[in-house]
Amino acid sequence: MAEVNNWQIGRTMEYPYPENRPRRQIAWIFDPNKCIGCQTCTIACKSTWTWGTGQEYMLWNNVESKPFGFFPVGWDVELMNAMGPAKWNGGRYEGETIFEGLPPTERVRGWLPDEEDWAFPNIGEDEVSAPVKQGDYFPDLPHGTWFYHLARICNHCTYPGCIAACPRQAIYKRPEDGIVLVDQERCRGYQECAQGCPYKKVMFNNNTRTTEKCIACFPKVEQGLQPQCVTSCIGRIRLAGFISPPGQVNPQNPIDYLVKVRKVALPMYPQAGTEPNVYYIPPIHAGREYLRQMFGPGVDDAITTYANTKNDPELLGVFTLFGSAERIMHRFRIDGEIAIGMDENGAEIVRVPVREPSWVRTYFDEVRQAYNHNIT
Amino acid sequence: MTTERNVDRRSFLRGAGAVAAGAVAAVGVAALVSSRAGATDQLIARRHEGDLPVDDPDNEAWLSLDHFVAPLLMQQVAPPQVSELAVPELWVRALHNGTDIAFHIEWGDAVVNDIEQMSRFRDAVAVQLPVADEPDAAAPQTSITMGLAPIPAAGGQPETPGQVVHILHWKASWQWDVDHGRRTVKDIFPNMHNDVTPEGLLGEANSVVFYPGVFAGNSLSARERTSPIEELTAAGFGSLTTHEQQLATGRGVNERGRWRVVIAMPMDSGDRSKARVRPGARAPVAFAVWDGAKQNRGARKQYADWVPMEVEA
Ligand code: SF4
Ligand code: SF4
Repeated sequence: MAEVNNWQIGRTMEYPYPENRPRRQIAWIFDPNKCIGCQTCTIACKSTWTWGTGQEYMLWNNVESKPFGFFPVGWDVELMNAMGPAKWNGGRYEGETIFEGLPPTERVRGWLPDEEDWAFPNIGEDEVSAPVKQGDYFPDLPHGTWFYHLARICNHCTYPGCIAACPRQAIYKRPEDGIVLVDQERCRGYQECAQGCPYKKVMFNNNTRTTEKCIACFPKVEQGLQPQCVTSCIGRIRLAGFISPPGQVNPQNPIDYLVKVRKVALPMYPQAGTEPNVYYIPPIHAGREYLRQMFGPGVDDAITTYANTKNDPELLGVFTLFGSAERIMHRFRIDGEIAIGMDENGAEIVRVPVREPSWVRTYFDEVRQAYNHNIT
Repeated sequence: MTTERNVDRRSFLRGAGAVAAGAVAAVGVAALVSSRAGATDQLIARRHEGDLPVDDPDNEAWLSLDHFVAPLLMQQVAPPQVSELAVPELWVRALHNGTDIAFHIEWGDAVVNDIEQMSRFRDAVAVQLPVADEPDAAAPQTSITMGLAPIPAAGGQPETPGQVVHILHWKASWQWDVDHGRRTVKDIFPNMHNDVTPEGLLGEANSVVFYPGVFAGNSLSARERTSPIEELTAAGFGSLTTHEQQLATGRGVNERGRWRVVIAMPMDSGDRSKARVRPGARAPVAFAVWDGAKQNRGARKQYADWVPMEVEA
């Protein structure tokens, strides 16, 4: 075991391989506040990569309703059962990651879902956290009863559980962009990776008998384009780009800005220790205790910042760049009422008005003598 | 891993499966032993005239031989490991005809696991021989860890050469493929329906790109299967590699709760990267076995240490 630095848990941790960060690390921001659960992302991924036989159950991208949705069934409940309640001391995680305190038989603290666990991709869909009683009304945040859509892909972790679990190094992390891939020539179908990934994002192909996982649409990324699930997103909740290594911040990089400067986007279950690279903006209406368990100790500050977005032109500007272009934005700039996304060389990719013109109708229409509903 | 807790929590999904598994286990209680001959404490590859009964594990030529009992150990050298001894021993017999050598391996396993799918693993057995210029002398020096990787020269020390082993790996799932034609998703999930498949739209040849394992030439993904045995080489844990030359043959059957598997190979394939066995000499062999029902796979296995096999002149 090597000792590696995991900035998300505020300490070093044990990992089977020494720290070896890629030259560039791909990263995503997902905003569940805006996700409508339409599954366009799921279908975009499925119809691009996993429409072969043997991949029927594979959803490299899935969207589940929290708290009762999960694919595979109970994936995070199992993880929490295995890890116990997360012990945080400020930004430092005091408990054990999935790589620490292991029995001698294991390389990672994992579990393998059963066949049936993969059979219910929409279990718990749109189910709320508690019954809504007659007359219930939730004027304040968080809501008394809630659910939210959690869109999930492989996190292309810095310290992947899948890589740690594979006894034959058949999974590798690309030095050029940090994308994690299963070598289809070396894979022997042991499914140790499927057991070791805390997010259950490695899946066995029942036809080819090897495991497969999200490939971050690397042929697109190599051309400077964002993955399919990002560019197809109806709710414009996603942004893909590159995150600077720990200790470095580029405030003009939209990913760095949201994760490191404004700290409004947080890793999911950071306590697992894999340093996942999909960052979520916690849904402001959902139960805080639940969110703290899922996104760690930064939840409250992130929500405070996010809830004030309308008074925060720069933050608002970055959010308007979500889903505005297919190319990867390495930099952004706000020019008055215009948000501008730029490529690596500073050339402009897209410009978007920070505020779209809008018109609010009067409640009572004098001409038609009727009441209006302002629904958008 | 499946735990009691999982079972409790999701028992509503699994009630029917548990009943079915119970029925299979009950059948296993009646397991019988096939041997007609006795046990021997020396593994001897007897000379056999004519073709070896490679396809027939029930052949009298096999069952009339005394069996060598190879006690098994849990793989607990490196993680991932097993924590339960699923198979305590193997019965091994061997025959050769001067050209080919064949092993007949028998063990108790009441539940046949011959499907590879998500969360399900297959039964398997393997024979391992050292690759050496003088195989007779290799036994005591060869590591049990599937050979050893070479240690590069460093600090004035010259390179330590590695040790290569030749592995013959029989898989129950491949046996099924050979006996019935390659198992497809339809065989595992009969009610599976696809609106459109890559092969349906693009034809077999053009759709290969949508089957990465096939495209990469992975032996597990091969569309055509003629032998249930795969030949591999390794130089240390984690280095197992399919050999370019596939000559091994054999067959496995499970009857009355016991697997009987024949694994055969040429005594000298002509390829120096494979093991060679000479009549009249000794050849070290080691074995490993996997019980799919216990989620054995890869390093989660039982193994038998090197056995000095005598090859009759
Ligand atoms: S999310 Fe899972 S599959 Fe993806 S890199 Fe992390 S451990 Fe591996
Ligand atoms: S496409 Fe976007 S809005 Fe629709 S479910 Fe996926 S992430 Fe949510």
